[in-house]
Amino acid sequence: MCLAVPGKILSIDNSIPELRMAKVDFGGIIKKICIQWVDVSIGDYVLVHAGVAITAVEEEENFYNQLSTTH
Amino acid sequence: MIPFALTENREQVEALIHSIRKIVTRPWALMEICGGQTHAIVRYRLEEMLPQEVKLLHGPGCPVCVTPTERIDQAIELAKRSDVILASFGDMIRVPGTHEDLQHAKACGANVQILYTPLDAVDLAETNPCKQVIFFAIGFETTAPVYLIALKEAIRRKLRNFFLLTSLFTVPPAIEAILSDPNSCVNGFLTAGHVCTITGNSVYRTIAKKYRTPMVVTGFKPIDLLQGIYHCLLQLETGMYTVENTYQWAVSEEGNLPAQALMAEMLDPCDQNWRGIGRIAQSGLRLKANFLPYNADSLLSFINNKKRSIQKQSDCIAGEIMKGSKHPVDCPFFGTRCIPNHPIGAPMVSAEGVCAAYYTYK
Amino acid sequence: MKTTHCSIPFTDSDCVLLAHGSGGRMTQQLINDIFYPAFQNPLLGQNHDGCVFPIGNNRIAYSTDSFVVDPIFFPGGDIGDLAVNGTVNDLACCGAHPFYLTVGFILEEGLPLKYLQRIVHSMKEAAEIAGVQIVTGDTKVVERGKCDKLFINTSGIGVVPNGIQISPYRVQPGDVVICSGPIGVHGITILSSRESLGFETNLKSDTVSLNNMIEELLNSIEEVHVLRDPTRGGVSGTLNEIAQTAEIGIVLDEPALPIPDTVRGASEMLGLDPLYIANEGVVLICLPEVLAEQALSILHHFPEGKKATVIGQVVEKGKAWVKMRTYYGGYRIVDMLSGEQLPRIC
Repeated sequence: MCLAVPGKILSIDNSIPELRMAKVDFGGIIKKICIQWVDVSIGDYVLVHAGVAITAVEEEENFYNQLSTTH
Repeated sequence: MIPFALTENREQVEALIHSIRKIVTRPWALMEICGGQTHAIVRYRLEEMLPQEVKLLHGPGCPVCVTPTERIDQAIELAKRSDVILASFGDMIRVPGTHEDLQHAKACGANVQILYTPLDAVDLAETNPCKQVIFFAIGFETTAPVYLIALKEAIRRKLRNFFLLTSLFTVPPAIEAILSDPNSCVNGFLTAGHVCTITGNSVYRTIAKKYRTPMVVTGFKPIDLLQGIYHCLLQLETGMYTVENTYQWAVSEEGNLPAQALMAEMLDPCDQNWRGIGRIAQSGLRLKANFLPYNADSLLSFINNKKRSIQKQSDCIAGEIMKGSKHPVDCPFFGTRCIPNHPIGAPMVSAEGVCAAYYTYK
Repeated sequence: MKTTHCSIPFTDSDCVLLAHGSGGRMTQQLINDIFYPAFQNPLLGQNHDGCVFPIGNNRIAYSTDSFVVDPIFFPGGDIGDLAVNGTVNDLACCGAHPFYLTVGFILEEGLPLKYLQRIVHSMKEAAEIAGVQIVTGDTKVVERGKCDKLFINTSGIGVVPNGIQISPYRVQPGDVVICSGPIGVHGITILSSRESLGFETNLKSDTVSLNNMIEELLNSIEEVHVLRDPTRGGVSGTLNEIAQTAEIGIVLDEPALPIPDTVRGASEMLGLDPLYIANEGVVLICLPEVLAEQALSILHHFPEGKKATVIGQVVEKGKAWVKMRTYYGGYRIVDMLSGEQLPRIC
């Protein structure tokens, strides 16, 4: 459930304070996304569900490369 | 950027499988309640990689699948009105109502538009002032606040023609319902990563303690799922029952506070009917009374409301499948009379539905 | 907790749904239930992109296709070159050298003439590149709202050189499946240009005529078993059709699939599967494994075949299926599309 995809913030539009928007790059696809709930700057990554960033995230590959899977 | 699920190191996956094999000493049944996880488990054949003792059960984790028939009928009824545009995510339009689905209603003239985000429906309402634009707002805690941000925007723009037809579900009451079922055989839960991104973990702490059952916050990639499974099994093998977060990439302990605040401001808990499972107390969310002008229920006719209690029966065993007591292949219709093209039960309709996942990837 | 039952059996739709045009299972249903029984004949039974039949000493290939793309202009092309390339490619996939095309226009009242001019001009250019002539046509105008700007039908004929025998029935275990270019580019470009989804990409449709490249391939390698362009229904739809006609099992290799990052990104975001997305400048080729290297080196000489690669292999005769060996070594069924592919949240 709840497909969510990470993308990188390219630009931020604060013109409507109640609905802050950003251009987000999903691997070459650029889409306007609402970033009202996250505190982010250009270059940061967000996890997007149905057009809204639900959380800021670390760059996915960085995070998982550092992840230890041996127990 | 190649999605990481596909580039991930095979060695990491193998290391996790090895760790799981090392710790398992007896049979355990784990349940995930998330269609995305079900999909990945079946797609990447994770069950085959796990030791035989570990059984994965696929809970009612697809909001499309659990949206009740009568709600779909209401969506269709509204969509057929000449002054209505019914906006929806693509997944909903093939889910059968009592007599037809939205795709069929659309072919017969209903105005159904498929959108990527509810925010686009606000624009649609603005550019179509003579139409009532209704978004079919289905989902769990992840999606609920997304509808609210769209509604807030519609209110900010002073639109009077934007409505939500809600069918919103909350996961914790469903978990409690499954755990308090005397026939339940679930030993531990993998809780849905993106739901927890919004809600945080505290609610699961209470459940873990009350039912002495491990709850492990889990992501969606094979590596995430195997991490979740490992930690859940480790708790079971060592007699622990706590909440662990193995999806820290996207889930924090407290969750998304602005989204939670919006939900508290605009939504009330309510009893909710889950298709295939039945009514679960306080497992739904509905718009608060002061948002009635934006609630599509206010547009529904009285006659339609009366029809709500009518529910036909069929031989579909979706309920048992979603509770974990049966498996899709136990169903006599699976893959024969019931196929994605011709679904009998909702879990065969949505790509995230457990039956569709098994059909597609087996 | 009480268990109620789920939902009600559904009869198949009593009217045409959009999904009937998706190139998947429902399209097949229309063909098998309505068209085949009515028109049944041996040529129709060839089950290919067009049909091949003898006239005198020549074997003629004949094919037709209609174009209803929305929007009519998109990055990398428009409905005009698409209409020419589509039929040229269908003929080329019959192994034919395409010669003549016919064109039928259905125009909506109110369509700006400058649009029509632009589209006709790109048809002319596409025909020149492909080396075909548009030799007859028809125009109809319908009331505003009765069609969307314009629809185009093209039909074409070509001649199949001696020795060339392209047919799904020839596909054998041991054949490899070659894909001539990146998957999903056209479909994602079209989606991105639709206002309702509104996303930007630097993708361009891959629409191109493939006949020159295919002819070069067939000049050097006679033993090409089948050629198909995976347009509607995508790679998965096309391979399933071949598998069903030839009664063969095909295994695809997931890491080998040439899916551009942008296509993957868009597919992830919208919840689509690139294997079902339409292509307009790609051909799938089945030929014996020993000829694969030679075929690839020929394809690589053409810009449209620069990224040609082997994506799978035919492994079994007698049963029709397509499977994929995933990144983790497991196998999963690659089914035909059921219904339409739609953006989803779940």
